[in-house]
Amino acid sequence: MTDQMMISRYFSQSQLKGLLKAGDIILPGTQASPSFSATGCIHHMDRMAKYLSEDDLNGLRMVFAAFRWMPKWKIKLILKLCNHSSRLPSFMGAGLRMLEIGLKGAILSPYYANLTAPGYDGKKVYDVIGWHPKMVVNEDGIPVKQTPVNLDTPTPEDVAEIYQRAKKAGPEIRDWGVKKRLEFISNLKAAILANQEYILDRLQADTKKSRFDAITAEIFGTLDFLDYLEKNAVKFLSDRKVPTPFALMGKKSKVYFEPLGTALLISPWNYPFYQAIVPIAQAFVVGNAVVFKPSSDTPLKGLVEALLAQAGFLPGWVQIVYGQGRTIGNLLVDGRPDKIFLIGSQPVGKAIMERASQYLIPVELELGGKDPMVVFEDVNIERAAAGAIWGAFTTTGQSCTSVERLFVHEEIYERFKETLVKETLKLVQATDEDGNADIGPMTTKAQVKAIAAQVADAKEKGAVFLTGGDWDGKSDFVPPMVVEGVTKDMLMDQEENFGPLLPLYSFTSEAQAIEMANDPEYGLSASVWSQDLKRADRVARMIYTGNVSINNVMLTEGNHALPFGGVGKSGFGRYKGEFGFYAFANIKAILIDQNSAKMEANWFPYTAKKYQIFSDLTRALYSPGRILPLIRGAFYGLKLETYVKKLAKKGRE
Amino acid sequence: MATEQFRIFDFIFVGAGISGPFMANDLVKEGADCLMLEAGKAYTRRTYPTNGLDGTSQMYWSGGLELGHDAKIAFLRPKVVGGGSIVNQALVDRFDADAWDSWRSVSKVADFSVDKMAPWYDRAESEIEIQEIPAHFRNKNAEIFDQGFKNLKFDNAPLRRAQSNCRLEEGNCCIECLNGCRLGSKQSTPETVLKTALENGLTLVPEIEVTHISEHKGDIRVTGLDPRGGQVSYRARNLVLGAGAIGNARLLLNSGFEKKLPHIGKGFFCHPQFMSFGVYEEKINSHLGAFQAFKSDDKGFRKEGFKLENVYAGPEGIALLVPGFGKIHHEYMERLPHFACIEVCTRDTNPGQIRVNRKGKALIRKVQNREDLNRYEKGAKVIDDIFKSTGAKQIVHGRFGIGLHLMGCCAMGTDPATSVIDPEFKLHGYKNIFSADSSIFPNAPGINPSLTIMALSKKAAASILRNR
Ligand SMILES: Cc1cc2nc3c(=O)[nH]c(=O)nc-3n(C[C@H](O)[C@H](O)[C@H](O)COP(=O)(O)OP(=O)(O)OC[C@H]3O[C@@H](n4cnc5c(N)ncnc54)[C@H](O)[C@@H]3O)c2cc1C
Ligand code: SF4
Repeated sequence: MTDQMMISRYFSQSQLKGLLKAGDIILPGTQASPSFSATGCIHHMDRMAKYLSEDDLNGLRMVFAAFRWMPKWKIKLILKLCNHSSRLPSFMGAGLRMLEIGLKGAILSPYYANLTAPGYDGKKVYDVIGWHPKMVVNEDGIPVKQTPVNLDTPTPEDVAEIYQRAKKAGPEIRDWGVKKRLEFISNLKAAILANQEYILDRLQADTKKSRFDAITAEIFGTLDFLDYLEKNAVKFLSDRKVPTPFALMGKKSKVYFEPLGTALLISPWNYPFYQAIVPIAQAFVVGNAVVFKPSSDTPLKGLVEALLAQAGFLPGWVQIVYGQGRTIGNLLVDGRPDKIFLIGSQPVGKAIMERASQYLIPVELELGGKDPMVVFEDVNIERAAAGAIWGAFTTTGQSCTSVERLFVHEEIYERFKETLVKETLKLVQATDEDGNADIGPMTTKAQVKAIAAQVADAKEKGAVFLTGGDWDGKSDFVPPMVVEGVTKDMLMDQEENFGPLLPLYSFTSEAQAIEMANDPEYGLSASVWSQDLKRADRVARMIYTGNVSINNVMLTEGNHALPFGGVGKSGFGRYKGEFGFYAFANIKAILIDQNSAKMEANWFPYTAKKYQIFSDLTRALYSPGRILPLIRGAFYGLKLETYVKKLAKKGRE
Repeated sequence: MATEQFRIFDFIFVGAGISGPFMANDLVKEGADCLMLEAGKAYTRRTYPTNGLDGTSQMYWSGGLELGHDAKIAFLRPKVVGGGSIVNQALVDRFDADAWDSWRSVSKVADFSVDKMAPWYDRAESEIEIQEIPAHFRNKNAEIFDQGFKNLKFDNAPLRRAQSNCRLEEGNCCIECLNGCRLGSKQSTPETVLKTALENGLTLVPEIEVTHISEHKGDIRVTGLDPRGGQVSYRARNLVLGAGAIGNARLLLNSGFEKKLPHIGKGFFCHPQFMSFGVYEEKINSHLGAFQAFKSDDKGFRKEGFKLENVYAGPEGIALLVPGFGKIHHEYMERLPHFACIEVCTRDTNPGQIRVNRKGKALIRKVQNREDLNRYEKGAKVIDDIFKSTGAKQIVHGRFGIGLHLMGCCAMGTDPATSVIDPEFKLHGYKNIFSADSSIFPNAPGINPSLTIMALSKKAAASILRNR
């Protein structure tokens, strides 16, 4: 992977570039010595900057910023002048000496402290200058080092340490502020782009999905989300003013969006990259430390850490913990994160929620679905059929929002079926390296088994397999199966299939379509297809679900400004979009009053007279009408205030 | 929001450097209820920084070097629990008759004499261990120093250091001594008097920068800044200023004391020190072994107003001192193992002054006049001769001077017009504000100050106890 990128709490990107330029003029490197930039010691600037006085820091910022666009010869000229500062008149000499000492101090100190960027394997400065003092120390002089924790199937002690670190990281992340946190997100974007092919290789190795599915859903989708964060996070996370009602005149009301602390994020195996980066990034941007657990089926081991490190994230900020959910899930909950966010299956959701309830940890669950697609008679059949095929079979059907039930109006049922079958048979299923396959094999053995059970059950009960009927029930290459005649008693109708199975049903009326589409259990997403947008909208409103695409499929997820989440047993809470920020935020209400001698009307003492005025005020303010209540309200408000003042002075009569 | 601490202490100490802990130790022993506030952090043997970058940025005010108005001298002002005793070279010397006589003549303080101070030195020395660096641990840098002195027929003497066991026999090389001693050998105040003071009930609060003090009818109020946010304030019957020369001056000026005491901030001295490097054909490896062993002990030098010391520094420091940039700079630094180093320390005569700006920041004005420059030049000339006589191929003079011995600004004296502290260690005109730290020096003694600060602090504590 390529070089790590640098973000500083104290310097902007352009100031850092100026520093790097000056650094390489002062320390260009020789045969023996590495250059300033080569060592990456610039990564340690904040260690020094943290302690500088505001004035010195501003001075350095100015100098670095000026160097950013100054030609090298000019910088060299200035440095030469510095060399001769003693011969210049004192007012000039002093300035140049300050510049020289400040600049050289900033550049030479990290370099000669032998500091390097993580992963640097070039020559060490201490070796070049022969600096190897031997220090004999006793036990109590050995610097405190962080004890390594095992992130791979951690023990309870490890988990305690993991949360300890997250707790320490919390204030650090919070201190950066939203804008600076977004610089890390920009870096992450760049790191993903720079390593795209490598990420795709890793993704295919773990998930076996087609390269095209991988690049669209996992790379493009992820980058698009990060882009959304960059453009919107500041807006949604800034302090907000909210109106203060008449009765609280003179006061101000505000809402702050603060981090919750540590977020535990648990993701499934179907989109292991997207479902890692997206929740991590959203939780981080709000200011939370993150503990992330990927699925043990598709851990992408080390990949996300490496990308985060390259983007400048410190190890404690986002910790990635590996292991089987069964063994470490409870442990991670017991560590008492401040929020749990889970994408996964119903049983896992239940288990986590139950455990979390012991500590009253808020959870947000994105569980499975059994998503309907409703096709009316007035559609373009080719397009709708192609949409159905993609919606049902993309990523070999292993999406929570893939089409699992297809309802087609009886008028076009036969023609639709014909196109559907014809086009499905054209799908190329293979393990590809070049993007030339439509779908890959299944990701997990367990899922192959689950599908085999549904298929066997359906066959036994008389369902007709229009495609894929020849599957042996064992191969990972589960073919796309279009199935007709699926009835209520079949597993295929009852359970989420999470594979390339597409049961096809016909309906006669709008009302029947709605009834059929409304699953008694799930409600994650749906799609409605019709030329008549009014009808489509009517149906969309009537389906009890979290997300609906009209004349398209699985597309609400394509817009990162839209929230995502389900109803019923598909889970609750919303993530992504504006509402996604709130999933990880402590939304704090602030009311500001002035310090004064004034007493509030609703404070003690209570008197019968005050009661009377207050009741008049209430009636006046909230009686129907617009202007009159205000005038009357003002009258009684004034009366109340005068009385309260009197009470304060004289007390109860 | 101000958090008013309602406990009223007998003494509040500002600064946990050398003087504060020495005084507090004697006062708590007699039952005084003492609070010590220190702007710096408390480190332990396990948490001392281990490289120059972290050491300098974490343990000094302003994150390292502070510059005066002409930027010719860089000042290092410790900010850490233990103050200078954590980061200094731990060289401890008694003042000679020359130093005391000159103090007495400017201050009119009768007790400033070798005889009168001797018992206080004895008592100070009894609190710490002091060792000479034995001959067989001298490194090559020290040998060059010694050889040069012999060649040129000057007198030198082994250094006395406040240390207990540097384990040199095990091959220890302690160039990181200047970031705090991880062995616990250096006799810093946290390893000695501060430790016993804490055991005897001293309350120490690190990371509080005192910003304002006031006195009203015997009641002292101290306000400080808590880095975790907000102000804190404390009350006491007495106040001891131990924030060092610049620290005390800044605090008194920011608290409006200069109206009564116009001399505050004046009379600032710093023993400007200049390092020179001799570059030899062979490797010197000045950073190995005991990095200091000798000082000059020459009557002639003393008269001329300078002394020479056998020293060294970390690579971050040396890199700043060698001239040039680019290839030239690399060429110097790549030959670092061939460097020997000698420092000239001048006894400055031209007083500087500390002022504060509107933000309350200390501004340093310190000019080396012709006399002071002469002193430096004479010393530098001797260094050149030493290097030449021992075969150096090249001599490099450091780019700027360093001020480590920050002294004065609240000089002791009998006359409130020309001094700040009276002979009883009290702020002129106040019964309950004291100081005995480096700020009370009436001029530059030309000798390492810390042992004398310890002795004066013991004397001050005794004087307070006597008058109670
Ligand atoms: C690198 C170096 C090497 C030295 N080598 C030697 C040597 O070998 N021998 C020698 O004798 N001397 C040496 N000195 C000098 C010696 O260390 C000082 O003269 C001595 O420490 C001064 O003691 P002090 O108690 O007056 O002040 P300090 O030790 O400076 O302590 C003052 C303390 O007060 C604190 N303070 C200041 N302002 C405030 C405030 N507003 N609020 C709270 N706290 C505050 C500071 O943070 C500091 O910790 C050296 C100094 C340095 C820097
Ligand atoms: S042991 Fe090393 S660090 Fe400690 S005082 Fe001795 S020389 Fe300094």
